[in-house]
Parts: sequence; C-alpha cells; structure tokens
Amino acid sequence: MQQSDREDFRAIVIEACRHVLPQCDLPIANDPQQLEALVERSEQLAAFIGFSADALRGSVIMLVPLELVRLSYPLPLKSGIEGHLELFDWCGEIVNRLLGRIKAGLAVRGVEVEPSTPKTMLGEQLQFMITEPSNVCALRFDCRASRLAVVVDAVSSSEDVLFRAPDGALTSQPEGALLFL
Amino acid sequence: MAKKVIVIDDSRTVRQQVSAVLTEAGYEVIEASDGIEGAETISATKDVAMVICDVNMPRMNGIDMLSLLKKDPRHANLIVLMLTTEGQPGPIARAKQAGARGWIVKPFETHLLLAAVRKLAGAPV
Repeated sequence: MQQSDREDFRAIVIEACRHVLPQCDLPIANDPQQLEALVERSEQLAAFIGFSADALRGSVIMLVPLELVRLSYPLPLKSGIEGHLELFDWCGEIVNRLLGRIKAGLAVRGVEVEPSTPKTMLGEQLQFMITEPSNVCALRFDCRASRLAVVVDAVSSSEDVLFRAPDGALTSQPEGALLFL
Repeated sequence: MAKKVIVIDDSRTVRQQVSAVLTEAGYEVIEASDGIEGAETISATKDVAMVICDVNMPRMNGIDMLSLLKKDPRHANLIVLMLTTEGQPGPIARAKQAGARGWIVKPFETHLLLAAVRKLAGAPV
C-alpha cells in the first residue's frame, strides 16, 4: 500500500474511533497513542471483522477489557452465561459499527469495501503482533480508568495509489436519518 | 390483535433494542438472526405487518433475502425497512430495487424508528 493511502487510511480510522466509540458509551480520550506491541493481562474481549475490495483486503480488531464492555452495554445485562454472550455480541456490534464508519470514509475516496460479519473471543494475556507492512495503524485510547486498542491491517494487490481525493457525491447517508425509498 | 413486526439482525443486542421499543409501543415482535432464518420466519408467519432487516449478516444478507422473498407472489407487498451500518448509495439503490421501503443507518433514534414503523405499518392495533 502506498504511503499516502496508509496515512489517509489511518486518519479515517482515528476519525471513526472518535465518532463511534463514545456513541457506544466508550468515552475515549481524543488522542490515541501508538501501539508498538500489545500484551494485556486482564480479561479482554477481542472483536474482529474483515473487509475486502477490488484491490484491498484487511481486518479491524478491537481489544477491550471485559469490564469496559460491561459498563457500555446499552440494555439491562442478564446474569451468568447469558450476560457474557450479550457482552460478546455487543463487542461485535461495536466493531461492526466501527467498520461501517471506516467504510463510509473509504467510499468517499472511491474505495468500496465489503464487510464480513464480526467474531468475538475472550482471553487473558492476549498478544497481538504489530507487523509491517500490513499494519495500517495500531492505536491505544485511554477510556475511563482503563484503555482499549484498535488495530487495522490491510494489504493491497496494486502498486497504484488507491485513494482518490474526497468526493462529496459519494457521501454516505447520515446516521439515524430515515430515508424512504 | 397487535400487528406483527419481524426483526432480523445478527446482533442480539440490536434485536433486543428494537424489540423493546416496538413492544413498548404495542407491536408484537418476532426475531430472526440472519437472512435464511428471516426468510423462513417470514414465510411461516401469517399477517406480517412489516420487516426490519439488517444488511450485513452471516449466511444470507438482508438485500439477498429481500430479493429472494419478492420473487414469491405471497410476499410481493411485504413492507421492509433496512436498519444497518451501511450508508453508501450503492447498497441503498440495490435495496430499493429489491423492494425495500425505507433505510436507517445505525445507530437509530428511538422516536425516528417508531415514526418509521407507524408510517409504514400503521398503528400497532
């Protein structure tokens, strides 16, 4: 992927995090830190979602302490295993919305991606390798008294610059607005 | 008897959020978790007032499900509102062509969703 595309992509991801995560009751600090490597010892949920386009494919990974997901859950949480499953589901929905926002940002630049469906896993001492050259960004945000991470990887099958200048005609429908067809 | 609304989304959180709003308003809500289960549920349910459907789901997406159902004359007049993270012109045009009547990009405002359901399906009873 060309450096200019990588920089644009990173900016799209940061904007998406700033927009989507507070909406999902994950009030992140505005400025992310660069993540060099990641080993979290506490119980974490890791949500993954993939995407593909004509000349681009990759994934968005969000790693969040279980307690942060619990605090952000928008409905009364059931007890026991049912409650755990609800947290898994909610974490997947958050990463799905994150990719939705990223997708809108890419579409404005002429790149139409197709998302997969999200998967979530629970673990302790989860470790992610941050690998060049596929890594677009690896961000750590402070959130409440804790922190979460968003890692985006992408590879391009083309040597060309993929991203065009933003085109207002390709702007997505605003969130929440009702459109009758 | 309350009007039946079928809610199809792979996220149980979203299904529960939508269901809570509509049940409180007086509608009967039936849930399904992907396009295949949604199509089966719609076919097996009498007098469906409307369907609220996600786009990006496992096994079968919402637009493919809608296209499939609309080939069946029994579902020619099915009222479908898409509720999704997608907001690009392409999928919206495809959904319109497949017969969708409305589109909301998540997250949704409760009062807007309810207004859309009342406009498309009518009052709950």
